[in-house]
Amino acid sequence: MTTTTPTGEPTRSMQTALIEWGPLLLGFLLLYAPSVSDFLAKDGLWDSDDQAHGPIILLVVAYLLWDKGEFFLRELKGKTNPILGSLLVLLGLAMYILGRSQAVNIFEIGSSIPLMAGCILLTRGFAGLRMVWFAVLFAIFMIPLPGALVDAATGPLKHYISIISENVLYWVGYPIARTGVTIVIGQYQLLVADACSGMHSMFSLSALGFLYLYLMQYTNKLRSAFILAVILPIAFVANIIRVMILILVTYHFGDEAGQGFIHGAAGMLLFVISLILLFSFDSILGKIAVFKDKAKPVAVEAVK
Amino acid sequence: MISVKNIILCVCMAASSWAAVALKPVKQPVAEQDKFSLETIIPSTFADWQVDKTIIPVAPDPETQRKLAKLYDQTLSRTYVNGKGERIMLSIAYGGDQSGSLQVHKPEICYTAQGFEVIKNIPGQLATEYGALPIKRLVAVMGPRNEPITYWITVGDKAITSGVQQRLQKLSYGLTGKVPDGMLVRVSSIDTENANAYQMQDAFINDMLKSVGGKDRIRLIGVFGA
Repeated sequence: MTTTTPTGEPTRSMQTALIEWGPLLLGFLLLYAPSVSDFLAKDGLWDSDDQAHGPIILLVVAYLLWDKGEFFLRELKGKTNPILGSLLVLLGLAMYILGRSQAVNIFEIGSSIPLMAGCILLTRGFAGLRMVWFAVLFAIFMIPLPGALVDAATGPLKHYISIISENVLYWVGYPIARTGVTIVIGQYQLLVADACSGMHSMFSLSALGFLYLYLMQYTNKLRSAFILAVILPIAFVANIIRVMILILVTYHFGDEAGQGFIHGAAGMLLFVISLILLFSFDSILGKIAVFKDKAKPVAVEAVK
Repeated sequence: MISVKNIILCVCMAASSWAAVALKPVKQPVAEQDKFSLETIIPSTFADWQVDKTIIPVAPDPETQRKLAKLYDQTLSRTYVNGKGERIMLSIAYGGDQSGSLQVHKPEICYTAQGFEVIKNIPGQLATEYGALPIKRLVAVMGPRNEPITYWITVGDKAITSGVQQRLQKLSYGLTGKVPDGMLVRVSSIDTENANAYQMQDAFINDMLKSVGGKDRIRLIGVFGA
């Protein structure tokens, strides 16, 4: 069976492709299927609220690679990069063995990046890597943030969130006071916990932002740069809004309401707020001439 | 077309998958004579100190308790009082499995998480008869409560200071196929005079170390030297 791509190049059948790529697929399954099943298990890495985005990122990476599948069906044309490729594969395997055996998640998951890159360089060269670089790099967002970084950033973040929430609500006229990260509002005393720092939501929102940019494929560099620059501030602001909503829910509807299902729902709300802010920001940028993509005649016609 | 290159890669990956399983440290069952209970190895009276029975330690909230049970195999929390009526809080947490994500949590994180502000965090050394113990001095503040803290952490048979050292010690155990255990010993008092409090805590720690048996002391502070 031979079909033809739009460029007129014959692609090979699924079967021949599977014979070529089968061993690599099997290899990746042997390495990472046990990891994934451990992560998904109860009390595994992905079972925690902080890392719940892990499996989603994995699916996105798989989809992005699948999306370029047509490229892998084609036969190799051009050069491969055996030296760099082998080095990356060796690095990846070493990271994997160390990370998996010693339960260092950063290495265990991180190993997939050099390993994927290396395999592609060995089989399809730089041209291949250029096709799938985003999918390979996107796997970074599966790696949990290093504990030291989380510990160092969580405290200050919580501190600022408490101060800002207190000041805003005080200014609006609520009876609110604060010592450290403990907030007293009316008869209730609330503690701004570690999870309130929004550290991990910042990380997963960054992933979403990068994915958004990749999918939008703006050719205007300035626009991309601006969007990247606002992702973290947006995540920060959205998180403060979430914390303030929780404080107000507790104040008006009681402790039970504030700790109940609304607490979880507020987490979802955080994402919705962030995405709305991000999309609005981008559409405002889109209205400004400097940020417009280079003229695409068809698109311009359509707008008129 | 069969690609020999890809088959070689597959073999390498299969070998790595196997190597990772083979190198995984196995937790040895604890021998009967190595079992211990924090409750009994730390005497309730030593030197001038005795457990202050008038203070009933407040149990942590259920969420914290669930987390603690997941992290530690044993915890001990006591308040001691001396002849002069000075009080010291002692808190010890022991975890038999320090590999992977299970590891003792640092007091600076715990205190901050409970609403304290940790205003000082200085690494130091405490001279004991057995060697210089690497410790950390914190001052945690919440409202009018000023609480100077001295603590140390052991991983395997060594007291360690930094997070990097903790990780390396874990790795050096792990790569030889062993699972290190870990201990967190925290001593604190409520006192507005930090220097005074530290002096008292140092004396308390030395008194305590002198009162426990050799083997149990190694559990508490590890061995010294290379």
